[in-house]
Amino acid sequence: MRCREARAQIEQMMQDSNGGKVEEGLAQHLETCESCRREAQAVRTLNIALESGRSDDELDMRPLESQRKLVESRLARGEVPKVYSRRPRLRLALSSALVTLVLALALVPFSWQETVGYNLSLSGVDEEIACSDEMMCDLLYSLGLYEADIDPLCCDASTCGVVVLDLKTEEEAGMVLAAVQRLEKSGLKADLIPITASSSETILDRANDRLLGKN
Amino acid sequence: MRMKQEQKELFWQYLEPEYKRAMMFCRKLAGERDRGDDLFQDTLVNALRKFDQLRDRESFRPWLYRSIVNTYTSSCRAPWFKRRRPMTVEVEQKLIGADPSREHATKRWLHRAMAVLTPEQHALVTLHELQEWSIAEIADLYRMSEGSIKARLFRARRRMKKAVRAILEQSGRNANGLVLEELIGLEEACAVAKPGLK
Repeated sequence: MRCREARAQIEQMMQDSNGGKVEEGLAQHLETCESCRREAQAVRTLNIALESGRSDDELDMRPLESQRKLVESRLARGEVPKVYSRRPRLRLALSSALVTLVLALALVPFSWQETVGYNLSLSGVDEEIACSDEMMCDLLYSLGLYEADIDPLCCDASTCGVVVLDLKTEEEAGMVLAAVQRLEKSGLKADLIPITASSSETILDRANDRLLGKN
Repeated sequence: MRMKQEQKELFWQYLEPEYKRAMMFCRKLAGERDRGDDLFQDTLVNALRKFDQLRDRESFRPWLYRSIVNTYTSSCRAPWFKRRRPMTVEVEQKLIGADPSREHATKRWLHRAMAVLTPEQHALVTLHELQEWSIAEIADLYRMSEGSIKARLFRARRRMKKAVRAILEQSGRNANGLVLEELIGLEEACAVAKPGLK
């Protein structure tokens, strides 16, 4: 008999309560194999130990009535057994992970693309207006847009393209468009082009900036 | 208040037929009489408090045993319980009054084998091996399939067997001492309990 077969029979012996009798083949194997003999000895010891545990220890059993008084008085006093959490380590690990995540979000700088301004591209502007720097600059100054700039583009037959640079908000772009439309009645086309820039800062700094900016 | 009193009466009525067996189970689960009695009383306090939540009164028995197992596993999570360390064979040998007689020897082997189990495995093995519940009854108690219970029992038994084998091998190296005497006790127990065993 091989050790593997012997182990299987020993396992079976462990689960059966057939009096622990062993087959002749197994008995012969156990005589020659030290390892399997130890295994069988462990199984036999365990079986006997388990069997001994089946006997009831009925000494000093508290009668039901007396137990009832004790239990009800404990309940009346509010003496309830403390319940210990099922997975305290898991709970601790989850809490730690959450704290780490929040700290990472708050303290680690992130890079992102941010809209810092707008360019307004106008096409179909009358050549006279488009090529007159003074007229366009006066128009921007009258709207209070002192940092904005003009960049005339190529012209075709009678109309030109103009890009109004460095507008800060969409509202400013809307004001410029409305002003040009008042001067230019013909077909004017406008495109708003956002100017983006990448920035890197923590969420905490960004929130701080936003709050200060708003205030 | 009146309703509560009725609930209490009903609880004790349902408990009465199972009272002794449940207490025995607690003693076996705890491994010692006093701790088992404390466990039983704690369970009864918990169970009585939550008895009104038990909708199906027919399933009182599995509900009670589930409550025992839950109270036991909860108590095993207590900080003082976690600080406990199992006694080594060497320490046991030095204890005054260590009784190498057959009965005590087998009990000690049982404690050693059970010491390596988790509280859940401990409850499972106690129910099946010591209280002799069938797999179907345990599956009903845990609301699991019989196959799953069998697998868990197998893993628990294998773990106990490894522990017993390790102690036996250790005792083989220490040629004398309590373990050897216990083994002699076990051999006697074998001869009495199982005449066919070689």
